Amino acid sequence: MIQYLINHVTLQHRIYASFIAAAIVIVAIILITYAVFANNDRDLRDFVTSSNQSHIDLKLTAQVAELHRLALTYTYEGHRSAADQVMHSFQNLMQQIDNTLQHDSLAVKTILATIRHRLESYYSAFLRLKQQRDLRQQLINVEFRNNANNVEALINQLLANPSDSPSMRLELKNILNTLLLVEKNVFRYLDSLDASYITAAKHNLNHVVDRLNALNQAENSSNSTIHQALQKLDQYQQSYIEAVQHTRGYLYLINVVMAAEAYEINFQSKKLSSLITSEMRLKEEALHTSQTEALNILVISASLLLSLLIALSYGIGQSISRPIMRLTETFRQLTSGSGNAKIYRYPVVDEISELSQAAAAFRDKNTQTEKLLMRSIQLTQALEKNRLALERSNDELEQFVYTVSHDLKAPLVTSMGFIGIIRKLADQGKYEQAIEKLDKVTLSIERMGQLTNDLLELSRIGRIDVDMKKIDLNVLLTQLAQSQQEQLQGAGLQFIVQPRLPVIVGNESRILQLFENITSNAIKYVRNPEQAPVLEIGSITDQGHHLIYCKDNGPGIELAFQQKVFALFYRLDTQPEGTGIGLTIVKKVMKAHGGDIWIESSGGKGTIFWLKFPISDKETKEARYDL
Amino acid sequence: MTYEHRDLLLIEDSDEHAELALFYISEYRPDIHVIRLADGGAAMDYLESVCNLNKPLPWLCLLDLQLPKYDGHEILSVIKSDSILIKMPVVVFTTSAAKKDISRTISHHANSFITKPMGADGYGKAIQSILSYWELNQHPLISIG
Repeated sequence: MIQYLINHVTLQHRIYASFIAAAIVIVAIILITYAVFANNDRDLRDFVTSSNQSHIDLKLTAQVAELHRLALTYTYEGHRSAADQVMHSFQNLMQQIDNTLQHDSLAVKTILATIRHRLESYYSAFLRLKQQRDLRQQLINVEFRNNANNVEALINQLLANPSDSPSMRLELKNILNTLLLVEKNVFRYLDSLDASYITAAKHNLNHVVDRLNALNQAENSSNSTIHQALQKLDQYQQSYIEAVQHTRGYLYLINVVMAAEAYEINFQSKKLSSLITSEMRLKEEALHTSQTEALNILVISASLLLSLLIALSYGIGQSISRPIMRLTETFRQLTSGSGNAKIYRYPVVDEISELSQAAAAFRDKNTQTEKLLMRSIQLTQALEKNRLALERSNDELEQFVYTVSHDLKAPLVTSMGFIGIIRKLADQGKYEQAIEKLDKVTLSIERMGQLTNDLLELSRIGRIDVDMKKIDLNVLLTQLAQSQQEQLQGAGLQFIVQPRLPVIVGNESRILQLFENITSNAIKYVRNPEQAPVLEIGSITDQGHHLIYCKDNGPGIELAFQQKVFALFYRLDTQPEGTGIGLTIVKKVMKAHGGDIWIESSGGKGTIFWLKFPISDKETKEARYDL
Repeated sequence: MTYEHRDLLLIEDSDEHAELALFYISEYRPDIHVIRLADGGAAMDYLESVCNLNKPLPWLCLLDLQLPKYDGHEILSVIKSDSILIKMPVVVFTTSAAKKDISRTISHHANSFITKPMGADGYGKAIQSILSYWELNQHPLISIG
């Protein structure tokens, strides 16, 4: 997965990804905000509902009061429409309570259930009241009326009897009036429910009963009509008492039972109201808390998401800008031609990796260029070295040719000059003088031969590096002393060879020539007015070198000439035997052996020729020639 | 004008060449007194003595180039850098015919550069010509008294 990302997520993708991430974060924030507000909205609706419910007590109280008023109206007035309205109101209330019951807390439900129960009780009481009232109405309208009519009819029957005395008739009329009064009082009572009326009615009825009984005794005849009237009167009395009882019954119902229920309902609804109010307060607090929480969540989640977005965009930005800045630095170094500019490792395969590859290619090219440049510099240096060497060698050659031509011409000039003189002397007839001069010619030609030989020797030295071998200087110098014994003795030169001379590697004949030249120079030039001339050869082993000294007690060589004496044909003396080539050969031999030669001398106190042979070079050569 | 007292300075290392020169000089101008110096060191000493001891300045100097110790070039530059010696004409008389030598000596104010001739009669003719030529020159008017 990571490998896939590394290989396929380009810069472009990363930039798109960051924009998409930003969009996602924004959408997420919007969604969270929406959720928080939706939650709050629900809470708020809840709260508003509760707030509405808090007024339920007022509503209920009002409705119950209205219900009770209607019930009272019905009770006292007997309007059937009022009863219908009571029923209607009751049903409304029940429905309302049922609706409320569906969505409320347990406490509220309990109270509502109580209210509902009370309401039902109230309603059942009302139904009983209605029943009793109907019963009473029926009683009054039917039985009471019938009984009254029966009694009145009997009384009227008695009145109709002509046999009766006027007093009797008066009495009967009086009874009838009282009877009517009873009826009147009973109805008054039923209308006003004033108990005095019923007492009056009772009193009147008793009066009627008394009168009738009196009449019955007075007549002394068992008048059946009066009996009948008495009996009917009794029924009459019973019926109105029953009606009064019914009335009292429903009055009890309305005034005690139903009023109590209504009161209870009011009480309960007040309780409910206070409960809802307290719940409301709780809900208000909850709402407040949830709102605060929601705000907190919103703020926290928004900040978290924003931080995430910032971190992400920083990360992506860094992942793009850092390598680019590094690459910029790299390219800056590269453009200055650096071949070791640092290219940071960059594992992701994208545009920057391509740039890195380009930088690497650039660097490789730079390295190649550097190498080429180095090579070119080396070649130029080598070329310059060769050129200088060639120039030097040319100069040397030129110098050589010049010197040779000059010094070879000298004996020619001499011999030709003397031939001219000889000719002149011969012309003048001075033959003896002329013949004397012939020796000069011979000498100069001999000298020329010697010069030629010496030059030949000199020219051979360049080719000595073949035929190198170990040379024991002790042996070589002893042999030299023996071979030169005659000349040494002739010049009176004491030749001292110190023991323990080193073994060097070199061309034997050249080394021999070197010491021959030094010895021959000593023979020619070492003159000491005080002592016998001495040439001493010894050695010191220095670091990495063999130092060989050739020390004489001759006139010495002034500092000014110490370098010059090694030049070709350079001579310090006009001694005829010298050619000025000997020391040149010595120096050339030393150079050819990788060594050096120099003079240590202070005028008049002898000369030391120092010969330096390298040890390391010797070892190398030794190794090479041993193969 | 008389030439009896004229000195000729011959700086020549080769005895044979000196002998040739002396022979021809005495042949043509026996009145010229030749002072022969065989090496650079002797020449330097003599020139020093001319400067310091008020010796008469030679009429002419014949100077070889190839000399022991100090060579002809060094001697020439000493002569031509000295206010007294500069008046002495210097004829470089050498076996060399190299451009390098000619150029160097002329640059150092040599008055002539003559290569020693190879022919049997050449040496004598050269000496004769040099002497005749410098005979015509008026330089002794400033160089000698």
